[in-house]
Amino acid sequence: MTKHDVRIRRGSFSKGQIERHRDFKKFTGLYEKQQKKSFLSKLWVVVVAVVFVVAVAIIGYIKISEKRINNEKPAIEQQK
Amino acid sequence: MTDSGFIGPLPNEEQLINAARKDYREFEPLYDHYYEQIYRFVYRRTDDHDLAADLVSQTFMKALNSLKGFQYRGVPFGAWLHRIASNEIKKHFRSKGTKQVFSIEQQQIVDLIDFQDEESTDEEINQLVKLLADLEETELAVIELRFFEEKNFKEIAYILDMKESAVKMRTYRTLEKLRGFFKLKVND
Repeated sequence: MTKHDVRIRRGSFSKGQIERHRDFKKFTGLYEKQQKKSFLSKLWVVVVAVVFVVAVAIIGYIKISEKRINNEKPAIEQQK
Repeated sequence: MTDSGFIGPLPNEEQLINAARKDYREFEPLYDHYYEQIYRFVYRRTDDHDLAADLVSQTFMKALNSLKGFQYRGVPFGAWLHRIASNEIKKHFRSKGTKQVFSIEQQQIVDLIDFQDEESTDEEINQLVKLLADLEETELAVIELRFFEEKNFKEIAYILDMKESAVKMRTYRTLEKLRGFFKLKVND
């Protein structure tokens, strides 16, 4: 079992084969698309994080409020 | 440019890199200058034009995305691109779970090895193929970068993330291995 797959090419490939793929406009198009995608995914992460923080804050507020009400109830009952 | 596709750095490379950092459209001269060299390098490691084009595109994309992190420390931009391309190739073969390809032009072998007898050339080439196929990944990489990509030891060390002295030692040892079977046209 060899470590590499070594192949011999009889002739060299032409410059035209390279030129067929060299296209800076296409490349920048892909780059812009990728940047947009990356921006949107970052935005999505920020939105999810903000929603999470707000949700935690709301749940925390509700729990604290419930606790306060529960603590106030026995005091009122004792006054009675 | 030589047959290997080797080209030197651009004269105002650092300025071009700084300009591309500010505006990605300024990346064009660097893209145009290095495209062929990186394409030839990747094609040698894939033997597939479409795959080579994809990996070259990914290489330039990664380079452009991390251009801000590139520091010009005496190693040309081309060596950095080779390093990225080399990692992309490794990643591709790792994900495919297949052996890495190394395709080489017959002429490049003729330039490397001094065949004594024309009649036995094919037999010797087959022997060389077997020998290259059994080399360690780093051994094959140093031979490729030194003699087919015409990189100096400093650049090879940078591309392979090794010390320059280790690259020299590895090149010397690999050439000694080859000298055990062939008369070489190249020196260390």
